[in-house]
Amino acid sequence: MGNISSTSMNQCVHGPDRPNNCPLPEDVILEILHRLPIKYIVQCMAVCKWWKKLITNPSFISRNLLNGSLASANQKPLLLLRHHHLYSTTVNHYSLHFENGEFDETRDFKLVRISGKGSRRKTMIYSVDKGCWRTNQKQNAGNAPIFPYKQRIFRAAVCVGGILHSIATRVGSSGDNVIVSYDLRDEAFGEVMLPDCIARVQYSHKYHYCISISTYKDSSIMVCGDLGTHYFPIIQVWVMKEYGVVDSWMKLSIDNGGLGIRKVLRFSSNDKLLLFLNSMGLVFLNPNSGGMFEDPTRVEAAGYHDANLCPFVESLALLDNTKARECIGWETFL
Amino acid sequence: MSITTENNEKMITLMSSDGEEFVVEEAVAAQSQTIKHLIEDGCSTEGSIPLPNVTGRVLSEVIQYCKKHSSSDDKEEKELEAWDAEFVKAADDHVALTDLMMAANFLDIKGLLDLVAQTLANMITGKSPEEVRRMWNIKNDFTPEEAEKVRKENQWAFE
Repeated sequence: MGNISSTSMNQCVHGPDRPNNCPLPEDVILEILHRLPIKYIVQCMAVCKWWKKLITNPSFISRNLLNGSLASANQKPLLLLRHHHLYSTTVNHYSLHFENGEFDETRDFKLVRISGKGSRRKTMIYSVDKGCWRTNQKQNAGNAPIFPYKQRIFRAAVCVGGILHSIATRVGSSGDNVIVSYDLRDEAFGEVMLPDCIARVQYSHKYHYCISISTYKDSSIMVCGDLGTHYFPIIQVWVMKEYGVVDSWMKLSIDNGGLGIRKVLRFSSNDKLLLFLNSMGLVFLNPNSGGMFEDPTRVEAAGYHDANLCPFVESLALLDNTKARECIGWETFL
Repeated sequence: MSITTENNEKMITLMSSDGEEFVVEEAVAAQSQTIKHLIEDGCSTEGSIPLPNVTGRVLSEVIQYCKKHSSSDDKEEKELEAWDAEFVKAADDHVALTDLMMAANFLDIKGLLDLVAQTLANMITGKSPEEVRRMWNIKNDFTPEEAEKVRKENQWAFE
């Protein structure tokens, strides 16, 4: 049976109780509502006040997101939100993430927000279950630099085993690129070293997608770096065969010149590589037995100049939650 | 009351709200977590287990489901799925399904609850709030202004 916590409901939602004439008990209604597509759940808010109260309850929203993500076990739900202030250079990134089944004790959805600059930078965490923002204590205590990296953090965070990963550049003389990780359970930052040649790739404003990160076989990470120029890209793809082991970085052999790769997007579950090409748009590449990739399958017509990929999951999160809305202001869903 | 069959299966008696008695193998009845706990707590020794929330008509359907699923180990999953589909089809309409769902909820039979809840969810997918209200005689307690507000705030879902 669904484990709907009544205490959190009382704290967070005020509204009508079950009307006497309603023939269905609460847990029966919830069992049915949870099996509806999001669109129809939202429509059901108009049935009666009591149904609306049940649907806007944070614990309903959390469980619904959980159900949805379990239904598509291969999809690691991750939603990236970006928030631009029109007249400043600050960019806030939000990364909504569900901690996958591994961490049963904290089945919550978190929205991670990194804002401010330099020493004033702080991280805030929004808990969908509790319905409120809180400061990330661990990161904001003491005098140590909170986040010694240049922006573009979490531009496309990927999640492996409850840890978010994003490419960032160290502040300071070396200016190396690293993978910054953020453990959603411990709420602590960490680093994963990149292969040397990728660590030294220089970011340019004109062509800022020169390093990208994605998941590799659901259990590790893959990076793709452009060692060439805007007009003559030379793409290298590296996979971390064993997660967390720096010595296990392995370079994949890809025919750069022949394909005109602009960007490597993702390793699909059946070991195909999804690429964005200058000429052909999106293509899948099949690896052959020798490890070489060949036989491109076109997915999307050319004509786009860029593509990004993000696992997608429908959710009721932030529904009717003015507190969250106030904090976020207006946002763009990517 | 403790009856045993020829193959030494322990039998128990379930009594519905309208006094109908059903004698079933304990293993079949124990698919209901509620009944299983009642048996464990020794509630069945005095005779039949009373189920005041379930009518005889519904209970017979529930037992039918439990019988099928208790002997399902050696069966093909596909065959069981087909049987399930026929089973909910036979329940006919949402009123019968709702009764079945309430019984599955009370008796705590997860498989049956999943099956019926999904069937009811499929039935209300695509229905308007008004049609959903009519299905279960739910009173619309929104004022016209409040109803309009819900719609407006969630415009995309109503298009």
